[in-house]
Amino acid sequence: MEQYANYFKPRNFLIDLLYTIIISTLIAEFLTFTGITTKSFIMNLIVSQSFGISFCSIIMFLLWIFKPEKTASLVFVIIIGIASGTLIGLQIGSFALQQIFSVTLKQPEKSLFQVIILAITFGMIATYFFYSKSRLKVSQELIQQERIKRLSSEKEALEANLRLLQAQIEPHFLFNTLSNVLSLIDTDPANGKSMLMDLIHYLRTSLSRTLHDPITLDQEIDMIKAYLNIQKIRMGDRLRFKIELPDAVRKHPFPPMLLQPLVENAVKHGLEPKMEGGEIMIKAMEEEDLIRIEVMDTGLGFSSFHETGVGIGNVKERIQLLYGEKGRLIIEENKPSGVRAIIEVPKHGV
Amino acid sequence: MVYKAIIADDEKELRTHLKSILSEIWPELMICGEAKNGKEALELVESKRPQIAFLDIRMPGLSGMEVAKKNCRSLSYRICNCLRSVCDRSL
Repeated sequence: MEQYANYFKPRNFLIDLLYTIIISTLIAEFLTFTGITTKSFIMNLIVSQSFGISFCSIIMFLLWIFKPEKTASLVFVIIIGIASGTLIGLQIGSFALQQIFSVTLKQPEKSLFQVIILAITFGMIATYFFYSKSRLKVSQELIQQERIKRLSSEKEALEANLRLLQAQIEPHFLFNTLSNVLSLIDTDPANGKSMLMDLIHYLRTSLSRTLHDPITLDQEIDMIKAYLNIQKIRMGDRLRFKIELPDAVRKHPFPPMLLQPLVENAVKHGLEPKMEGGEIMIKAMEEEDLIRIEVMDTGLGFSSFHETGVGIGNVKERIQLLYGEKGRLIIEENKPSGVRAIIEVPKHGV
Repeated sequence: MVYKAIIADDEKELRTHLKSILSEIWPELMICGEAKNGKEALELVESKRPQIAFLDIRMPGLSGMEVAKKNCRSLSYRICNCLRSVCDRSL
């Protein structure tokens, strides 16, 4: 109901006043045509305008003063408005008639009563018209708000995807890898070549695909392999990794860039800062109606792991967007050391 | 006077890369040791007493910044903490 209170603005008042004048004119024409009161159009017009404008101004004034938020108080305001509008309209109308035509409404009693009944009836009908009009406007505004909300949530999803894409092209990673390649060209060209090929593979898969394109799990794993190969050249013996990908889940559809941030976290926060390095184990498995992928590392563990980091937050957000309650991300301590991240997604999409 | 220097970086290739750049632009500089983490760097600084130490900022164990701070206080070394920027500029 709060929206109804907001509806009454000066501009709306002027529009409604215009409507009132038009409606009053129509009523006057109707009365002249049927001859219920008098055959004089001018007289009917004067009386109906004085009632109409009184109703409209008083009701709008009361709404503006009290700003009713409940239906009961709105009805109360309208009743008060119609009652006092009838009284005031009657005074103005009879005064005008007396001045212009020297006609008095007060006699006989029957015609006065008739005028009041007509005024209240038409007043109620017109009020109902305004009420439905404002309701229509309010519901249109609500629809508009809904649309804005939907659009902005779509925008948020897009922005999340963009952030994710940007995170993949971290300049430090790129420059570091290129420095390594540059050095390897002199010292170990074969290794340099394979590192460059891995970089190309990694960039191609992470940059060329839009995040809405469905890919298969083995495509994502291939890209992660390229990433880990690059990191392996940088870190040497300090990084070891193993990937278990059963044939059954190989061709399962999987959203791109969902697993990669977890692997990147394991390297960056788990193994890189650890003096002796460690191992990363990626395991995919099929359960009844879900696919479960675990990323385990033997790194420093939660002490250096940022669960609230951009990468993890993004993965959580995307799982929520893609699967709702059916998908989840679990992050727990790995025994004896490190972090274990588990992604579970439904087997048959959403 | 021949300057002595050490290089500390956890990535072997980047150490090699920096060494080759240095041999080109500063042939008389003597690289007297290499470290692959902060702890080793600290030990090298203490044992070899180089005038210059090239320290990577992000290293396992002790960061380049921490190594630099520890030495700046006790010795009058001027420590360059610029391995990354040297490598980036060379690209």
